Amino acid sequence: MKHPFILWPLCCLAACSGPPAPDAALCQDVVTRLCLSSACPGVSAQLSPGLDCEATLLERTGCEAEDFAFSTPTRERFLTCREPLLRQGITTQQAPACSDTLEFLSECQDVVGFFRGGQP
Amino acid sequence: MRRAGAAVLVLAVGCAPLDVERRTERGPVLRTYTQEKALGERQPFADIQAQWPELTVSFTTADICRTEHHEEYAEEIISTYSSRGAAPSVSTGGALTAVGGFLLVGRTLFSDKPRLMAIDRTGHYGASNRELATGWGTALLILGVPALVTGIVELSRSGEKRETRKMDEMVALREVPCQAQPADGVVELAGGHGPPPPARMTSNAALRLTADEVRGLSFTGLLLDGTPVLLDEEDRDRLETFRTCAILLSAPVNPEALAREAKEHPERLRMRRGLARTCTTLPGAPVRPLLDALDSILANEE
Repeated sequence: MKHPFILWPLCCLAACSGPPAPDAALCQDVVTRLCLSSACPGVSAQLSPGLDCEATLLERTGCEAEDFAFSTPTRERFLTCREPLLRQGITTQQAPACSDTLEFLSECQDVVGFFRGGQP
Repeated sequence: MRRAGAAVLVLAVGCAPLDVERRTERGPVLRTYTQEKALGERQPFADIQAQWPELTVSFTTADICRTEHHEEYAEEIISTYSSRGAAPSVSTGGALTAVGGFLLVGRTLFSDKPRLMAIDRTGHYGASNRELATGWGTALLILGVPALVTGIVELSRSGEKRETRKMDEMVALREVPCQAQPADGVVELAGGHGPPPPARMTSNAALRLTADEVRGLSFTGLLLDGTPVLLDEEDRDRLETFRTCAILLSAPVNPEALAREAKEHPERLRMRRGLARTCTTLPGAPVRPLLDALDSILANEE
């Protein structure tokens, strides 16, 4: 740590991010991730995604509407529960690990209930 | 505002340390001069003259005059300033500044659309390419500009600086008696064996001793009013010769006794002839009869 001053521009770069994603985009992101890991044990049992996973979950939650907004669960709660699903990367090109998806299902029953189409 | 920023930057990096190597070279002699001054310490001196059968010691007091020979010359102090890090600093700083400046100036060439494919943990889209270019450009400029300015400042401060100053060096020193004045006082004859002889008063700044007195006195030095008197080498020799001759010439010349001694101790007689010859340096010394007798006897022996 001889020259700590050279690290702070890199910290700035790391914090560099774009505008906040709308609630609908955030919800669709989680739907995509859950459907990518739908083959994991327990997922189908808890979420009952049907044959067309994404279409089913989007319809249940209403996320496909552009003006969708979180109420219950809140956006903050949603973000917290989403974190295990990001461990393989923040893009949706790679499926979450089954252990991370199971952690999501066990720790966030309120959000799971939201995806089932009912209130927690 | 821009000028103030530049000034702050230059001041901040202006303290970057430089390696300094100093050496001194002696230049040509500008002038030489002599400085004379009296030390203000008067000392008694004595001059010894012999006129057989009398030895006259003349006393004077004199100051010590110091004569200094000085050389004034030019001295050059050469300071060589260098920095081993200047060139790498300029090249690294230049490259970072160039890339950073290009990214910052050309940021409009990049798309300002956020990366919709990725939403981070806080729920934000990924930064647009333009924002990334701005961030990287700023960071590279922050790193590059100080390094570049530091390197340029160090390079501009590198080089050789010469200072010339005038120096003075004393190359020779001589101290001689000066401003001599005759001196009267009480003279003590010191340094001999046994009890010291009684002190004597000078008369007309001189003390006169006969050969008989010198023969009976034992002393090696003189004090004038309690202060040691300085004698030069020549005067010491003259005093010693006078004393030797006073003893040698006191006895009458006896050729028979000398002939006997020549048979028993020829070396002793040769030595006596050598001493007698030195007595010829004393004006008026009656050494001729003794010297003739010794020469004659030693010539017969050889």
